[in-house]
Amino acid sequence: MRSLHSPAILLLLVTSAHVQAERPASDTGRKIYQTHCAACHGGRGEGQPGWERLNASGEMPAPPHDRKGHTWKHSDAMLYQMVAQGWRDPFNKTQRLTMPAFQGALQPWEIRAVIDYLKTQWTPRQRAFQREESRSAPYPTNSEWNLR
Amino acid sequence: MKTKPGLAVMPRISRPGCRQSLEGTPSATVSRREALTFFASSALVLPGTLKAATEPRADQIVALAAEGSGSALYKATGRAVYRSADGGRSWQHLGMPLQPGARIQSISVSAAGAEALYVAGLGIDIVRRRQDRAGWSRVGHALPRRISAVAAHARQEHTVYAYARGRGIYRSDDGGERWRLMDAGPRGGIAQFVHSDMPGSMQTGWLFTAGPQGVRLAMDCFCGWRPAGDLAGGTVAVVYDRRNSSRLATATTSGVFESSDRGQSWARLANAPVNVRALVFTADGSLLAASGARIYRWATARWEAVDA
Repeated sequence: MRSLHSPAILLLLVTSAHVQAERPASDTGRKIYQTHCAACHGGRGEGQPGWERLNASGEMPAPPHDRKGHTWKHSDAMLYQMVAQGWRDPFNKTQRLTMPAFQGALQPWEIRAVIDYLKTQWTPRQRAFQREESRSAPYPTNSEWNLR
Repeated sequence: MKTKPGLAVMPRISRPGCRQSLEGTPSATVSRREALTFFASSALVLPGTLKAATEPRADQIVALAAEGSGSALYKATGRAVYRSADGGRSWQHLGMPLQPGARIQSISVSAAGAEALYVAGLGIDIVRRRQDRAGWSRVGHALPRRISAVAAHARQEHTVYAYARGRGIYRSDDGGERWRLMDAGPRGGIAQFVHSDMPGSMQTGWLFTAGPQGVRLAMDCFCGWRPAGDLAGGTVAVVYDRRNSSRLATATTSGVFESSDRGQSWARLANAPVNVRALVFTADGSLLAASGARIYRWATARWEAVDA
């Protein structure tokens, strides 16, 4: 009988564990969302009131991430970049980032997990659209992201 | 809610998202009557009917375009496309084949590489002419038969956008072979639009549109349309300067306006020709305006006929 400890089997087990770590359950994404995102984007991803126009401070409020929003129009690569690096609406009246950067607070797999959780808020049609957009712009690999 | 025919109809794919646009205030809503009046007064095609409100003169220029690099200019009348290599002083007829009754409404030149020229309009859909091959080919076989405006991406050679009345804005990433419905576009419809590489977009740039609501803009991920400044009334053309993406120009039924702050404020250019139908910034940053069969250049605070 072949030993279970052959190098090939071990490699398979290690790889499998790596994939498990890279692809956490969506509940992990939900918890990350509630901890880091819900304060601005709402507990159910509903966004802030009046998110379509500048608020009294001259800034765009946080938009919804659910099916009523436009998050589903972005590729995985773009969503990852938005969460990691943040973004400032160029028409804002302040210099603050409209969306803060989370790359210091979240690990790459956590960013992917929270984006994967957002996808559960969309319609099948929206998910199909976003999947198509992501075909040419998928999540960056860890090594790609570390090179930036 | 019942959809009114002829106005920008929300395509099913976009219904849940970008219709939550930034222009949702009641005062910004354009009624069907207002939209029809605008398209009729600007001699454009009535949305939903595909009939000309005012038949333009045969030699009336309806569209202008310029190469991103180099000096070539293009102009289109309802029935022909021309190219100029000397700044508009002389023109070469490009001999585009047209069916009887077809009418050109929009032209656009790709940003780089093959310098593809796209032509759209009534009875045409979209045809493409590559400068290096000097032949015409119909693209966009999968598009609806109401394409009234076309806009090439500011930087990506093979990306082009097309607007179909009643459907919305389509995007192709392969030079027009395959298309994808992206968004319904701003309310009231689009007379003409342009892609800009102005910084700050979440994606690759911005789309500026001219139409019954004035100038509107959206990132090219289509995350909502917002007004660009507060010009009163509709606009028939909008262009931006590729050398300085903060600089824009627009034509309304009452004049030509320029912006140096990304469309947030507009200044009227004095003594503009009447009934300007098309604008373009040339590669050297000059603003050209077409009125009737003539082209004028904005130079040192006055307009000069280019082909005088």
